[in-house]
Amino acid sequence: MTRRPKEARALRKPARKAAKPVRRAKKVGKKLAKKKLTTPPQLGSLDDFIAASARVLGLKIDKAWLPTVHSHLEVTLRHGALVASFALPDETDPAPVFEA
Amino acid sequence: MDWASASDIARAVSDGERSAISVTEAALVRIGKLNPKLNAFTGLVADRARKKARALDQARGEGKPLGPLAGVPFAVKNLFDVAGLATLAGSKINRDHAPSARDATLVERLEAAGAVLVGALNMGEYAYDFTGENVHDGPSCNPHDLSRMTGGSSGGSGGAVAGGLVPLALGSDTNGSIRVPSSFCGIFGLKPTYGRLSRARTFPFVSAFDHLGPFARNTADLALSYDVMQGADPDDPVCADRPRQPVTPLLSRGIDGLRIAVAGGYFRKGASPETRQAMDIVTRTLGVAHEIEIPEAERARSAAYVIGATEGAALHLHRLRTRAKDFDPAVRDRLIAGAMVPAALVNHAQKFRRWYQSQVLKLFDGVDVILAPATPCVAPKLGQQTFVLDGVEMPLRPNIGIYTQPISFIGLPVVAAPVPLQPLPIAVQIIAAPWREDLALRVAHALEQAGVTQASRPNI
Repeated sequence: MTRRPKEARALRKPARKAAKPVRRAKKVGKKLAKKKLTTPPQLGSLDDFIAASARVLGLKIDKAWLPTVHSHLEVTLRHGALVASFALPDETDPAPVFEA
Repeated sequence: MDWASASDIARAVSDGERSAISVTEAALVRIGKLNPKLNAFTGLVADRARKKARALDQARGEGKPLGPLAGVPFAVKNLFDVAGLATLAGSKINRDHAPSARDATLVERLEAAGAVLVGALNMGEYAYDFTGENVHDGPSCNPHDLSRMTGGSSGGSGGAVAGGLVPLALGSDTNGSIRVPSSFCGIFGLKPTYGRLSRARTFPFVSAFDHLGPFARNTADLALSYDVMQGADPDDPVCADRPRQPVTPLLSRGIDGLRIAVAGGYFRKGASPETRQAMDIVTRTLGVAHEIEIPEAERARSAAYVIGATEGAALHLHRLRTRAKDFDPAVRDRLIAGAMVPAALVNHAQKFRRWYQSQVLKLFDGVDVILAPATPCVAPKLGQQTFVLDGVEMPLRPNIGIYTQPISFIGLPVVAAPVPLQPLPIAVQIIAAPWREDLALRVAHALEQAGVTQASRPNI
């Protein structure tokens, strides 16, 4: 339970070094594919993602808001990637209803 | 009586030294005089307060018991329902809501103990805030320096208590919104264990993390108000069905026998010189040499960030669709981004939460109390957008809570205790195991008795 996942260590590497195995991920297997989660979102793809998400969610986003939305989404996804890079057993229960 | 404690006011009213109505009138005058500078209040219930105070005076005349908070003026963050007022939650949108039909449970419990509600307090919009700034009502201003933030989102609560407008206030804490204003305003705040105090009839933010709790200028008032608010409540499904565990009788037990440690690792990073100074003073006073590392605290903060962003977005999605332009832009754009985070990341964050809780609870096998900083800096200037964290310039708004988020993420009880540095105060977090608010309050009380933590009186 307490093991430190390799993906977590990978987060500390420079982005350029992390990007190479991600591009080869399909070829070299499942283990490296996990690193994809730690790759910072790409600007263009995130703009497309925001536009698509807004359509799906029924949100109208003024053009003037886009840079800030983009920035917040990028930060939140980075936090999400840090969490997702931590390996947990499949049986781990989520804690949406929490008891202290 | 303008800097009197809640305990002293209750004693004076119960003994007949002061009438409840005179205390209430004095509080209303003080609010009228100082609120234009502090902008702490967004609504007053003066008629209701006078009626309650006169009823207390009449009850005393008839020899009836008045309660442990007899005649104590208090106010609540404007996300608490107050009968007759719309519950704003810091927003423009909620101004269209009908007035509340009934008070929040905690308001009812404080008034049942004799306290007198005088009004509702300013806050960051929908509690998604660490600054105390509000685009609709204007910013809450710090009583120690009016050009600085109170911290948020319970900014009005911090300003009203630190400024001497009321001796007692209530706020909410989802990621740090009681502890951050306590730190910036230099007062005591209690974020109890998740599920300890009822949240019934308050406006939510992130149900998974939402806590309510009191602010005061000393630990005795904090404990007294906390004691009368405890108890199960069928109106809040999260409120635990546990017996009341009063802490007031335990405060003076001191710290003998308590195993106290200071959090290292993540909690040493990013601290300003003032943060480090406050921690040094407190650890030296308590003779704490034992340092522990809270495992994966940085990742816990990230998980809290993800869950908070997404659950908050889900709560407000229909308002984002229909009234996006009526939000504070700083809040709206974060909520929109939160709505777009993939569900798989949220699920993993909730799984991580379970893992992290199990690891942190193990630490309490070896220690009773953990000390950590409350904020990485003293109160920033109003309008400040960035600050330097670990030598890197970072956005201010989302990063003030770096030390508070990993703790509220798993619902641990915390007392924020202020160290009165000059010119600006800053608090430390005194953290205990779930349901052991008594231990955190005992340590805070011991530090207060030693003169190390105290609410210093500002010169407004």
